[in-house]
Amino acid sequence: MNIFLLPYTWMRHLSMAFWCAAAGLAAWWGVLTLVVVVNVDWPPTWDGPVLMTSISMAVCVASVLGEANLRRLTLWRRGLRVLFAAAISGLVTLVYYFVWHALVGVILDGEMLLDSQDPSLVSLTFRVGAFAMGGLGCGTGALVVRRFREPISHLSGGLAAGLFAGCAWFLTGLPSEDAVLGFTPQRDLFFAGAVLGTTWGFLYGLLAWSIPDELYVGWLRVLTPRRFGRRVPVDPPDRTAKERFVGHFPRGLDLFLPVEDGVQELHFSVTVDDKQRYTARGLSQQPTMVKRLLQSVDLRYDPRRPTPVETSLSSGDRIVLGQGEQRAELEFILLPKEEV
Amino acid sequence: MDPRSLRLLMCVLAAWFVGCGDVKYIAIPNTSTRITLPVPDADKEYEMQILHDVRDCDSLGITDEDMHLCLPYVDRASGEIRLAYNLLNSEDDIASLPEHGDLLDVQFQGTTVEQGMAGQEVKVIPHDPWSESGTLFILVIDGSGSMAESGGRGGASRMKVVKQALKRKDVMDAFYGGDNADNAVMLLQFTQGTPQPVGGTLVAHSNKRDYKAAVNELKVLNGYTHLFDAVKYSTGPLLQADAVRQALSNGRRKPNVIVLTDGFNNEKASDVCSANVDRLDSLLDHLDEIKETTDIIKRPRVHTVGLGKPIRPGFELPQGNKRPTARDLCGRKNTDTRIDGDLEKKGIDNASLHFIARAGGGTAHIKRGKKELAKAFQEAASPSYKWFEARIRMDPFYLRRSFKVRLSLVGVASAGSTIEIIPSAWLDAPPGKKMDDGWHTEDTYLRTFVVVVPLFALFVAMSYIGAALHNTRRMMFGRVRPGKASKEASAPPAEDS
Repeated sequence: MNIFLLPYTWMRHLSMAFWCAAAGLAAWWGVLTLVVVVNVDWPPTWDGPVLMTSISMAVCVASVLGEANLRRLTLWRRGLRVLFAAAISGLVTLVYYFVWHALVGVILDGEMLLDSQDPSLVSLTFRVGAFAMGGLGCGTGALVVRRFREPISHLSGGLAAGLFAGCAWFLTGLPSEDAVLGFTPQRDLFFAGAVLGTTWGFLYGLLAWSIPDELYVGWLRVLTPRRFGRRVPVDPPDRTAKERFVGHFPRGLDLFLPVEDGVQELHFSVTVDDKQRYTARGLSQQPTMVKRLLQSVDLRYDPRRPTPVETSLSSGDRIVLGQGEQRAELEFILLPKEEV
Repeated sequence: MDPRSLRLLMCVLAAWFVGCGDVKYIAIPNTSTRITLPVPDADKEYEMQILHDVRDCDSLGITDEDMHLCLPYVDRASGEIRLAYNLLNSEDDIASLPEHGDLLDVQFQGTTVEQGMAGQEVKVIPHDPWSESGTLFILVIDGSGSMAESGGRGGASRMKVVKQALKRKDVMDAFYGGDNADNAVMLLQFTQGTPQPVGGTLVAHSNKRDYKAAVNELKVLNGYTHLFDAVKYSTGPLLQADAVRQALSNGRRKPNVIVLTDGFNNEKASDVCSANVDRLDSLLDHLDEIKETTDIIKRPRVHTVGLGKPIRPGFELPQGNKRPTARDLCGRKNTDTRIDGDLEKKGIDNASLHFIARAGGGTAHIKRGKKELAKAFQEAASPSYKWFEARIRMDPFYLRRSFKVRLSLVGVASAGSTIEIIPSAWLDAPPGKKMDDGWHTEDTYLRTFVVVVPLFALFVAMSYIGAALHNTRRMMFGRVRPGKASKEASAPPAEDS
């Protein structure tokens, strides 16, 4: 996870999902290697707790480490957070797992109880709780490390990830040669394990924690040939509210643009508030347009109104000052904070 | 819940977590399967040892190449189970065993696995031929009048076809084995009454030249076909004869009786097919008695060879130790059909031959022509093997929880063993690799890379794709290259960023 590889587009939310999916896949593969290649001699009853705990820990650690990477924390702080996340998610998953089994032992009896405690039975009915508990454990670990911010998304995201992963594992492991749309997908318990780890990680990464806007900073950047590429950040370093001015007034403005491009002395400004909402303001009676897909907003100053015309800005919006041959063009773009 | 119950529950959970007491689980290398120690049947002639440890395989001298075949294997994708086994005698020495595909009874969770039923299949594959012990082959050849009839290409008589088959090099090689084999062949002919030794006296031919000379002396003797009596005699009184006892070298050689006929057991002119039911039953009792009373080392194996067309094509032996019925032997139509001059012209009594071979621990071969007959003799003279693979195919659905498999030998020897197999509910190794024979064997663990590497590659690619698409879009919309400025412009008071 690297903030410089994550432009401010909707696809950035998938990057954490892919990152956590890789961690889930690696955890499944690690446990499988332990069992198959290293041939560890633990009893069959350990398979479930070990696999659930491993995936839960790996996915939780991936989420926390991914965030730490994006925030470019020091290695020491990254290490501490990873250890903390692993310890809590692992421990909590184990505790949840055994609490669930204790409850099952109380609720069920007879053949159902025997089936639920058979460590070799491939069943979703009797394993659904284990997946749910694993997901909850995974969510709890990250929630604690993130100081209990966004508890609902962490716990429900973890729960959903665990349950969906369980369903995907069961369906992919069903021994069937039925074709789906003329295609016979691979369905066996080996492949099901890979699907389990991947689905768990993907959904957890997608649902539990999204990349926050605070990791990005708004910039104004010149697109017209004269002064092409000049740019100024909108946000101040302390992330307080701020207004940046654009014009050809020779002193005191944040971004100078030549008068030959149709830019007035004080033509236009961009504000940011303390909630990181960006707004464009037209300060001149000369043409001032904000353009985005299928939309143009005219921000020309209307002397009959007490305040300038405003519109919110999103990353990628173009601002056109002036018209015809005499015009300047800027873009508003959100870039990683680390570039400031 | 009171505190005591809670404590008890926690104890049960703790015991469950650490593996429930004294059950010993053995992890099978390169699989996610565990087994419990196999339990051989008590009070059987042999101890069947289901191989589950690399040391067991080493002690059998199994090569590294075959080592993977020696250990238990479950392929849940194809529904196959593979178990290897060998036999130990009462002195814990390894006992060799001939091929016995049909004589291995396999039970899955207490139910017999039946060939062809719901995709079920059992295959027994012998490994490592073992020629340290010798064999006395007792060939009992039908000399009845029907052997003079045409039975081969060019109008050759059946007797001639038999003689040609017996004199083939590959058949003689099968009888006399390799350099270390201590085998001999004794030839008898039967019609009615006691079978007679070829050449007039009982001689065990221990070299090919004498054997060939004896085969040349085979001739059609005329008379009825007292097949069942011939089998009874050659597995009973014959073995007590001095010449035979001498040929068996006091147990160093094992008797292997091969009976050839071209028709039906026919003791008198009025015999109808159903008359043979009681006679066959009596013969089977005799063979069962031999099994119970004769030491395994001295016990004769009985193979049957039928020369001609089977009267009941597609006949399959009933499961278990069920006794023959008239319908088994004759079918619906021929129960009351006379054998002499009628039924014997239509074909041979293949059903009886199968019953006799099963009770005698051998195999039945129904063949026509010289080549096929030679092949039957070769199979009947096949060597003994040190260990065997039992391959079992089930519906994969049944392999989704722990199961018990019981292997037991019927007919050929008495031995059995049960093993509990516990596949992991959560994990599985890569599915097996299909071999030429349609069965699966372990695939290398590197196969996991086929799944893992592309997925990791996809995730890495996806971590770049956002940036790549973003930059491509900016490039397409002209945001990364400046256009041309039309004229000079005023400069700013000072350079900003």
